[in-house]
Amino acid sequence: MDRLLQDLAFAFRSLRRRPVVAIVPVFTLALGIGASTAVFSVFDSVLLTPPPYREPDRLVLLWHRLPALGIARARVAAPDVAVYREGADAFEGLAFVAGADDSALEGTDATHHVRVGVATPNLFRVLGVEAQIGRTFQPNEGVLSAAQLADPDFQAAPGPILLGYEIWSQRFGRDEGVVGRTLRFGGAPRLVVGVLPPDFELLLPPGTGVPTDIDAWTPLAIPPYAFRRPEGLRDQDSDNTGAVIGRLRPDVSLDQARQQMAILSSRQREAIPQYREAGLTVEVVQLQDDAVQHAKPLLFALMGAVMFVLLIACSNVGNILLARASDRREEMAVRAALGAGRGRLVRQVLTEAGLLGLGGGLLGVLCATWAVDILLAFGPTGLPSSEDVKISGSVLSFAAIAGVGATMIFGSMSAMAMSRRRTTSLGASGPRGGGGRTQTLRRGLVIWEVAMSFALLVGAGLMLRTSASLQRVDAGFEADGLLTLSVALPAEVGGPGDRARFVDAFERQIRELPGTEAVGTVGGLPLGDVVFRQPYGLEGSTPDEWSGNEANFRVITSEYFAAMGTRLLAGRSFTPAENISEDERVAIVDAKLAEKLAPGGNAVGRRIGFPLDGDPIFATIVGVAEDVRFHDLRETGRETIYVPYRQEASRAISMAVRTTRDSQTSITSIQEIARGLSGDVPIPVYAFRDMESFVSRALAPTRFAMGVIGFFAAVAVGLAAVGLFGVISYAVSRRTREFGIRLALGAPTRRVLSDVLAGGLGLTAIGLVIGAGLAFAGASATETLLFGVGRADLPTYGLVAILVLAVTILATWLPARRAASVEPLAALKHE
Amino acid sequence: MIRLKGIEKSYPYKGGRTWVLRRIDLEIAEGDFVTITGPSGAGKSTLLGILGLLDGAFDGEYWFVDEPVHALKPKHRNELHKAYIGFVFQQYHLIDDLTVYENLEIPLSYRDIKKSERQATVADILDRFNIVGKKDLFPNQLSGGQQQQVAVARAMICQPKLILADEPTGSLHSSQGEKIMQMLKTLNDEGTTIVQVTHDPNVAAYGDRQINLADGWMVDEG
Repeated sequence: MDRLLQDLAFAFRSLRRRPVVAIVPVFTLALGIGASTAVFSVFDSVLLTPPPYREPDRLVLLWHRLPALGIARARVAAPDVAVYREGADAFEGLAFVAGADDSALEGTDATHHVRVGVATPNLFRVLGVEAQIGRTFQPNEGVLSAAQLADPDFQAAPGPILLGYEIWSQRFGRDEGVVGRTLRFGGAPRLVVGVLPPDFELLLPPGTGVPTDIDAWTPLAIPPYAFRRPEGLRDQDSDNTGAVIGRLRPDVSLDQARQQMAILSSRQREAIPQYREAGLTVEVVQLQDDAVQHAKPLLFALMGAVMFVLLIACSNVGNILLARASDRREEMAVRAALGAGRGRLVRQVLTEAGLLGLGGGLLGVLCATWAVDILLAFGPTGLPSSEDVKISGSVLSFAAIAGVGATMIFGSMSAMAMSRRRTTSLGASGPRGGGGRTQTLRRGLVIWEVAMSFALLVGAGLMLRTSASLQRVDAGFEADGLLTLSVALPAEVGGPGDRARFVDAFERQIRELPGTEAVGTVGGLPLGDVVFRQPYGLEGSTPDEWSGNEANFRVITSEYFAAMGTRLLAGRSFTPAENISEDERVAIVDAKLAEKLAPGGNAVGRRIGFPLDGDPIFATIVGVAEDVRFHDLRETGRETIYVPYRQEASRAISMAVRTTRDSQTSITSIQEIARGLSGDVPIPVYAFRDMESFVSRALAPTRFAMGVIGFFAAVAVGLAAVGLFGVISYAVSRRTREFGIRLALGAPTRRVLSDVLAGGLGLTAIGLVIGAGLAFAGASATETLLFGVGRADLPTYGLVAILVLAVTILATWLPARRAASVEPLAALKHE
Repeated sequence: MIRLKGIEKSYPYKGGRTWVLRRIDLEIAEGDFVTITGPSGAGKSTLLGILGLLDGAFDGEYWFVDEPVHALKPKHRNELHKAYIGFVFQQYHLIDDLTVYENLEIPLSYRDIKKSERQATVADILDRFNIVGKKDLFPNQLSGGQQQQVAVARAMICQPKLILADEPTGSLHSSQGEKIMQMLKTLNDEGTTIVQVTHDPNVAAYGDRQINLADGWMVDEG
């Protein structure tokens, strides 16, 4: 203990007397550890931290796979859930999540839009989630019996509802008395049975059609068996399909469950012709794995980038420690001469290195807490909110291992270097330049730093070019000057005809607002969350033959294209009369579908078949619109069918208003119109957003990756430059006498200058070659993030190489100048 | 105390070897004051390093207090070094980060001596060398003579049987050098064996015996 304290005291003393030696590594490490800890915190939170469910590793998700249709993953139809519940004993329970409805919450101080999730009542038992207050749903609570379903006059009692913690806090001020009260959601009474815990969130991957921002939950009133199976169709986005979450029995493995589902799916193929044709299989995947899959490429790219930064920071610290080792060889030799064994010397050096690592680690964790906030503030959707990301035990372990580990490794190297030649430092003869091996190691570290900086810069460059390519993409609409909003029409508005008339009136009043150029309605805006696809076929085909054709499906009103700025390439848009009448079945298709339906010809006038409410219908194509990127700016386009709103008048709609007025004035006016149109039941009008924000959101992951990798690359280049500067400066100081002699012998200063610059450029050149390999490997591993640029994009590699060479010249210039300005006489006295 | 037989030392150099010491045979008895002289590069400091048990990479036999140093493992060699040997260097080689007190204490701490005992020993030696008033100063706050005085005190603090001094007055002016040599002479008179390396004939004269080295060979002994 006494020895340790003495070592610590000496270490403190030594570092205090050379603050630069202490501060530079501590801050360098803090930077590396802070950045990597921040990214690792997000990585840990998203990918490694289990969701707050009971035994989450036993939760699975079921997907339908329809290989003959080229569909890797489809939502499971409700009647199939009933079959699987009946036939599979691998699961303690199978819950069916149908989706979410937008409606209005009444009876509080104001009317608010709420998103109510709909699932079988066993969802919370399957997840193993208890209510924070009250209870979750009881078995079959709120579910209609066969007799009740058969009775058209049956009046159900108010169904139960479970409030999410956020809505309970915000709308009810955490009043526990709300449990047991009956509230009106979208005009329908609901009995509040409980409040969910604050950390509850239904973790599902994209593609299930279930949104993540659900405010409350109600049980699915119709049992899965009672749903109608679409005849010969795959209506993947209707209420008849949804996400299926299962809990494996304790004694059942994932493989066993898969085997059981394979048997059941083969029975389904035998029983149902369209499943046979589609080659149905059921995929059973771990819920947590699957839910975070989509975030992996971005997080792995960031983790890789930040690991490079950490390695560069560690290399720099190693460089400083090794430089210090060279300076301290004499001191170590004295200590050895005074009786210190090699172990004691190594321990002394490691104590100092450990202190630096500890300091860097602690400061790094502090930096990480800020960095997490900054990171997530600019983060795209799909990353958790900053309050969900914690500096957990595993994150702290990571920081400790990274900080202390890195300094210990390089500390050991420097300790070995210091204690290797213990006598020659004190004047004994022997080969001079004993620091040669250390200097080689330091050069190696600088080469490594340059290589990693180059790779990071190339990564940032490729993301920059990706972002530019995405911004150049013609998305099929004009985002500028376009205001959008969502409307949740309550049941009280009436049936499809009433809804169409309501929308018509709403549009008409908005159109009368000053500055409004056009207003249109759509089932789901481009680049929004709505996924609605339908099979289709040409006239003359039967619905059974439509398998394999799948198109985006959107209901729109007549002025939608004008409002969106989407060009009509042929024919016409819908007429105002078609907005509110379904006498004439008409449709508009996009250019891609038109080309498929009438290759090289005119699709206008032809008829197309698709399902509406599960029934096959045929519509006449009256127009062809330009292709629109509905889901992702990267998509190469998908066929799209537009039908007049009246033909499938959904309750959840979005509106596009092209206006010259400022957004806030328009929003106030539109809210007033909505209030004026509302009768007894308030109509929630919400989510006012500029269309630009949809584009920004679509660009967000790329911009985020570009920003973060770019920042890391800048840090990396700075650190590498410092490392290079250190190595070249040290080399110059070791060669001061040599330079003095050269200059005394008449060497021109430019020769000395170029000699030193060449040393730096030589190291950089090797680093660039290694870095190009690293960059290519990194770009290949994260190729899914790239768009419009190849992983071996020569202009990017070339420009980055020039940049790195320029930084090298800058970092080498000062020591080179110093070498060239050596006074020969003074240098010859130099030891 | 010391018996060297056929000691040789060389380094690999461009496919061959560079010889630093050649066939050194030497005996030093307890209480001797031996001076090693010779031109630069003769191998004086290398020989001192071997004598001081800091360098184990040599050929030949080296017996120190009847222990076969040539056959000892580094750990045992280090223990022997700690038990018997003190060093004084031309450049003093005090540790810059430590005060005079701590510089004196450090050899004791390397020998795992208890703190109370260390304090008493350091206090004693400070008193003996008349440097009590300097104990809290750092080396760069002392003159060259004072630094070498502390270095001799440090070499003495573990009461070594052998002091090896490499140009002990090389960086001092004559009066300071004389003072240091008087100290070493006094220690020798008290029974400590001294081996010094020097170029200075006046300093060499303090020794009882003189050994001359040239190109690694022992050319003369008087």
